[in-house]
Parts: sequence; structure tokens; C-alpha cells
Amino acid sequence: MPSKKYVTTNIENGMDYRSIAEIMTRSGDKMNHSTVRNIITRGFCKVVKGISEDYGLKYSDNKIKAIAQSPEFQESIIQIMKGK
Amino acid sequence: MTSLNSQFSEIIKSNPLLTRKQEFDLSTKAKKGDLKARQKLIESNYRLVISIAKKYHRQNIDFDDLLQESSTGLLKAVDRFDPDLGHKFSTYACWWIKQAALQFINEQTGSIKVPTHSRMLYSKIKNRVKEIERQNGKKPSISQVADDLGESVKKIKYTIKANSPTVSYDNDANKDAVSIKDRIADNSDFSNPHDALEKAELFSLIKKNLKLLTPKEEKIIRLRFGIEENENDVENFPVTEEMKEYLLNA
Repeated sequence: MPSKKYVTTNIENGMDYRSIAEIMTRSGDKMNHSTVRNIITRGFCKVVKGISEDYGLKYSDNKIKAIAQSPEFQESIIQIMKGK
Repeated sequence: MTSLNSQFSEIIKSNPLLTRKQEFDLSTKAKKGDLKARQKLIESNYRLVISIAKKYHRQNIDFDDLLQESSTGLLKAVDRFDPDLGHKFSTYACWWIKQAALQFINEQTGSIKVPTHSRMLYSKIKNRVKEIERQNGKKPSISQVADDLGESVKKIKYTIKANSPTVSYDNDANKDAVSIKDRIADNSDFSNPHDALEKAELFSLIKKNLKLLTPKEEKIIRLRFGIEENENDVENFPVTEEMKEYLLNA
């Protein structure tokens, strides 16, 4: 799986990292665009780790990050969060 | 479970045939609204229903269903019979029972419902064709059959077409045909229950693990991918680019 620094996903109504950083800063959580990116990756990593543990699998941190950053995985999570 | 046929037999055993006088009395009382007399008249004539239903019974028709439907004819006959005309009840009732039985058979036969009168005419046409063929040794023309039956050629043609047997695309004899069910992919959970179960399990696992996200992480992910929690939350989920600009510059 090729490692990508930024995930390109087909986002219909989504926002870029800078806009999110500004919104979060205005609501009291001061952050910049790279923090936003790191938080998103960390969030997805948590979910990947949880699922793999439920299946009795032990992945390395790098493997978990690779899965978390993959567009396919993110797309599935987004669909579930959207309730589809 | 006792079949309807055996239930009928029990009723018949306990209700012997009525004499003309009993029949007249019961039908007169029934006409005046005596429910007991009506019931007795019905129960005493069940053997007529069984006798007619047996004549019309075909292999693809459930006998109990046929009996039940034929009984509705008996009920109609009881309600409409006029004892003062001097006819025997069975003479009158048999036509209603036959009518009910035939109507039921008509509804059950074939995949396309054809009106009873059309099916009856088709039966007449077939009989007439057989008869003429036997007499003349060759098949008659449509106009000849139409003349014989006193119907128009158009009606005869239409009736034959409407009553022609249909062949299912899924019939084994029809090997060259492609069935509609083969053309449409079945993506329902019923087509592959094992896959559906696995998907459902994975789905619930993901949902469970999504709860590991902190509120801040969840909010950021929602903002990033445009997943609204509340459709009225315009501040975090602006609908248009202009609104987004406006909010950021505010």
C-alpha cells in the first residue's frame, strides 16, 4: 500500500484542514492545519486498532497508520458515520 | 388438523336428506329470517356441494379450497331460493354451486386471469372444433366456428388468443430463453446470508469502535468529511462556499 502524506477522498461537503483549524480555534481549541490532519489520522488509527483487536489481530503502528490513512477505509467509515 | 372434507362428512352424517315438505318449511322460515332454519337447510345440502365439487376437482386444485368456494354457491342459493315457485331446492342450488366452483377453478387456472365468460366461450369453441373435425375429418375455419356459435370472428379470435396456454420463461422445455431472474442480479441479503452476516458483524464492530473517538476528534472528522450531526448546524457545516467564506471572515 503506497504511503500518502495527505489522503485524497471525494469529499462532497467537507472542509480543508485550514478552514477546520479556524473553526476549531474560534470555538476555543486553538490549532493549526497540521494538527487537524494529525487528529484525523489519530482518530482513524484508534478505530483501526479497536477493530483489529476485536478480530484478534495485532498490527504494528505503521500498519495501523497505513490502514487508517487509506482512502478505502476512510470512505467506509464516512459511510457508516453518515448512517448509510 | 381435520380436513374440510371430513368436517363436511360429519355434518352430512348428522343431517339426513330433507323431504320436499321439510325443504319447503325450512326455506320459507329462512326467507323470513330464521337463522336456525337457514343453517339446517345449508347443512342438509352439503352432500350436494361435495358431489358437485368432486366432478370439478382437478389435479392442480386443492379439494378443500374447492369445497369451501363451492359452499359459497350454496349460501347464495339458500338466500335467493323462492319456495313458492314450487321447484326443488337442489335443482336451484346446483347452478349456484357449479357457478362458484367454476369461478374458483377459473381463478386458479393459468397465470393470467381470464374472465369466466371468456373461458366458457373458449371451452365451447374447443368442443365445437372437435365436433366439426369428427364430422368432416378436417379442422374448421374460424369463420365457420363463429357462425356455428353465433359469435363474431373477431370475438372468436380474441377468445382463442386470450385463453392460449402461456409458457413460462423458466420452463425446462424453454431452454433457449433467458429468464428475467437471470438478468437481474440479486443483491439482497437473502442471496448470500453468510456475507450479509459478516457485513453486519463488521458494521457493528466499526460502530462500536467509533465510540473510541473523543468529541473533538469526532467533530474534526465530521467537519473534514461534511458529515452533519444536525442539519441545522450551519455554523460548522456551511451549505455553500459563500457561507463558508462569510463564517470564516466573521
